[in-house]
Amino acid sequence: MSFEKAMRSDSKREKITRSVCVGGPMTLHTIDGVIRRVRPIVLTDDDAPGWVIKARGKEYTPQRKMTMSLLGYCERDKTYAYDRLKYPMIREDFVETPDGKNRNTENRGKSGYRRASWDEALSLVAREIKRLQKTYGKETITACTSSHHSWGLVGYKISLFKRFFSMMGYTRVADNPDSWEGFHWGTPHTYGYYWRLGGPEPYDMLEMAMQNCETMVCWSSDPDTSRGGYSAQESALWRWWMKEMGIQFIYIDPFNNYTSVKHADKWIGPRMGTDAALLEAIAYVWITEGTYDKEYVKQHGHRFKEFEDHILGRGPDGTPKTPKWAEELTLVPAMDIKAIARRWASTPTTAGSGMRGGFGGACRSANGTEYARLLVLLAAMQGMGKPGRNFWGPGCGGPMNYNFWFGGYSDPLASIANAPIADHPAVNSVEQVLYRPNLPDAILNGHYEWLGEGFCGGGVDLEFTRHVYPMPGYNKVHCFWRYGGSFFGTMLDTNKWAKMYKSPELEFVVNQDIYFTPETRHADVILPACSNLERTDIGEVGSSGIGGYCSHSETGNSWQIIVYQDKAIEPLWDSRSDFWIFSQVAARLGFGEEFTEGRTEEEWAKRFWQFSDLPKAMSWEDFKKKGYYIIPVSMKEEDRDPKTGLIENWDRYPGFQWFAENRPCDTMNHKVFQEEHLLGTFSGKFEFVSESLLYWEPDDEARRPIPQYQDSWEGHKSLTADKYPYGLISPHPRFDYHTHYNQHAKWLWEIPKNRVIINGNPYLVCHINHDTAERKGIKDGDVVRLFNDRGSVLCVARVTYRCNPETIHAYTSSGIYNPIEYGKYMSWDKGGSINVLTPGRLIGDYVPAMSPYSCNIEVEKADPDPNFGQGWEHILDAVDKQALETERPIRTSAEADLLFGEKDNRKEAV
Amino acid sequence: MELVKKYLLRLPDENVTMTKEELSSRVKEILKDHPSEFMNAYRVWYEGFEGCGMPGTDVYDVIVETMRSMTEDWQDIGAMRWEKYGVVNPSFKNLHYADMEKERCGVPMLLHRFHLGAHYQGPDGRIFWIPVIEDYDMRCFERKDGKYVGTMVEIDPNSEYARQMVEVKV
Repeated sequence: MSFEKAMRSDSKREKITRSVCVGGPMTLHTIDGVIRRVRPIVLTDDDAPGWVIKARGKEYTPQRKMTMSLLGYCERDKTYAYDRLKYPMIREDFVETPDGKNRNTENRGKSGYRRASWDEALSLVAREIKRLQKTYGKETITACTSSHHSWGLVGYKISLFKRFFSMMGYTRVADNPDSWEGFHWGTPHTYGYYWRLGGPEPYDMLEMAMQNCETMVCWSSDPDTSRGGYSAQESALWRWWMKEMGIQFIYIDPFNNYTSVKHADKWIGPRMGTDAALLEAIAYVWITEGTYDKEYVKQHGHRFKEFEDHILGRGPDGTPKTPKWAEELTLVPAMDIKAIARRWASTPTTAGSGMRGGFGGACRSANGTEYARLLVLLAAMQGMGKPGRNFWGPGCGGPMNYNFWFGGYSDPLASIANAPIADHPAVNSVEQVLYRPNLPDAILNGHYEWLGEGFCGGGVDLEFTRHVYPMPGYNKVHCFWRYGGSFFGTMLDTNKWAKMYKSPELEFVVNQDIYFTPETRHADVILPACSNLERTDIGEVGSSGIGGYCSHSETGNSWQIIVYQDKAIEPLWDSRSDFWIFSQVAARLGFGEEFTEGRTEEEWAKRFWQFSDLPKAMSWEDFKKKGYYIIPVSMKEEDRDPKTGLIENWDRYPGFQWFAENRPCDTMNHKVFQEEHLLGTFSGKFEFVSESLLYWEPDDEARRPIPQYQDSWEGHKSLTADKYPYGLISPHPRFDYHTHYNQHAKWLWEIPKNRVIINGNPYLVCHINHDTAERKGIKDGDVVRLFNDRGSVLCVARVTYRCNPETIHAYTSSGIYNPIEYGKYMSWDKGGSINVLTPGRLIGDYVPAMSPYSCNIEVEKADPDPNFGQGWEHILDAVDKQALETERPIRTSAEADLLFGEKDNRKEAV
Repeated sequence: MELVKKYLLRLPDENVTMTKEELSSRVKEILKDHPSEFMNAYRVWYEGFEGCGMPGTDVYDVIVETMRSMTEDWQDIGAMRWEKYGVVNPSFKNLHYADMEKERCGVPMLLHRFHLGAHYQGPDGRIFWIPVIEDYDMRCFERKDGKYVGTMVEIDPNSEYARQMVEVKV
């Protein structure tokens, strides 16, 4: 008997449901209305068989269970978090003036709140929207969301959120591709793939690598940490297989990251921002030693001769890009550079960056576009698409059934805002748009101009679209509706976001969230949403869907799964589902019926089942009962190994193979011209000199026609380097996802590599090299101040040799932003909000991209804040007290008992 | 002696000069049996000639003039937005596109056969919206009375039914 069945029989009071989050799909055990246990989904005999990859005389098949990441296991702790929003709240000193003026906006962020009823809060929101629309027009309201603060196709941001705001009309905020800026803005000019936002084709690359590859170059890549985005730990096993079969791993990262520590045969830690120089030096070795694929380059490359001249010093700069030249910049010994180059050229080598091949911190720097372009070109020089020689990261590319259709979270077909899910698609009547990284600049200065559409998957030309705010004929924005998560922590130069919220230009601020995040604390009205464990939805894992960005990213999973997200518990306290909240506001604004189309949340969820291949496999009732469906990688009986029953044959379409073999593209998500055997560049080939850049912006100084290393505007050679001599490396977090876990799940604070609690405050851990620490008198465990002209952050030092002496490491997007003296300019942050330090400057005039890896700082020993706790808990405590004084809890469930202490089940629950 | 204007073409290996006739003849050669539905002078320059940098205005003009002269094969359709180049005027439509070979090396060129996102009517009168075309299947939704009805429909693009589907406006 399986453990699950045993658990079920143990207690009739127990309810078992399934759900999914960025940590993976999960089974939830709820007893007496309290979630007691979160476990991975373990497959049963009636689930589909797994696939088997046969390579080098062995057979490899994944274990029959989902591999949740630690974030998934925190969902229970997060659901009952100390910082949950329990009630609708209105800022204490908010005054509903008829003209929107004199509302004490300067107190946003430090004022307390009072509890409100839903009717009061929703009516106030509706009144304000009507006033603002009447005064300034529909464009006066802007709204934006974080990614993945909640999960499910009904509740996701391009679904529910988009439906509500598009129907109402609003100034949209364009997202920037903040996790892979250099690839997005760089590689379309080298090999096309703008429709994949610069990323490569992952299709069947795992099997290709396992059968043919001998060397993996993981550049700026920590796949055990970044987990393919939302693919939990599915691909961790694959890397063990590859390691076991003798594939050598070279990790290149200023921080000897967690995957590198486990797998690297060689770790190389270049100085931050100099990766492009290292790549140029590798090209130099290949060219001078004649070890690149000359036939391939001749056939598939465009203007290689000029690139060769540049590398050999025959170009305008006259500098040969020798390993010695690169050693001075990168601090990587010339001999190591030659060794990498020779290994790469002499063995079938696959190289990739970041979690999906086209990501990684190195591309989030002032020179990030050039790094990304050079990495692609080097892969091309070694015959990209030939067996074992490719451009791919080992966090995706598993076998997948491309022939089973179920919408992914960013798939336009899988949204309640669009057809066919909605009978009446929602269309936004406002054309004005804002740009997320510079939203504060636009609000504070009243004017902002930029290039690009944020995500420019619709064409290279979109990179060069000019925007101005306010758009001619439109009014400025006076209302900000923030939905889910916190940009304090993920957007750079964080202090300017706090400054924006205090501006009287923003007459009204609404925050709809599950938690009391740093941004929630700046709202006038707070609408408490429930988590996705408390509502009904339907979801997948790691799938951006066909047609969504990074199409088919579910190849990061060993199992393709669709989950019925049954509610484990009723919404806690006075929280409500996002669907309910938007429906209520829509009703008050007069479009409630149009918004819901008369459907409940579950009925909307069923629409995703209906408009997919799932009905062929399972009835709605069976799907609800079982809670999930595993998509077999092939449906055909004859594709199974007769002995093991595992699926050994499926439709295979290895990435880039079509191009190397001179035939029409047969991989998924391709373009018309690829069927004519052309890449998405102007010439249809790998462009060593970019024609699209010469066509669109020949004067672009950040992206030269020939990609090349340039000194960063903030780096080891910049003016600030004397004052702030250390490079701050701030990769995507290991113990968080964006800002969605680290503040809320206190369990994470007990991980000593994540945070150290001193005087009630969880200080973020930073890594400092032994030599640096010794010079500064810093010991392991000391509180230190990281600082520059933009601010200061208090951290706890971990002294290590895992980063070089020029680099200090701390994870980005801490999720907590806590200036010790809130509202005081340059007050030290004790929440670990590293992006207080990173520059707000964009990569270049024509490259509207963030560059957190171009950040100089200084470090010194410091004292912890003597004040206890995080400094804001009293705000929620006061509201809780009001609740106790005014009425009995709204619910009599075990959750409410747990809160009010009448029957403390907490210990038992834990 | 009659002076003949020479056109300078910057190509990857060398700079080449051509007379107008030579240039025009080369353009025709490039466009002969071209499988694309749409074309513009930049595509001819970058893909056909593998030109380096922007084409000179005189070269560009000759390419356009030649394309305009090929009235039996290419129709001037005015301004059109291209994902790579932005709006290009004039752009041209291949008049023989429907009859072109839609398969190479045994690989079907599905996006050359069906327009992604368009509506098609089958031989039985049913109208389908085709939002997904992967390499071996098409995913469609039936449209009836202004709504999408039923579940997702999978149509084999190589089937006789698919071959008889005709693009329609809805």
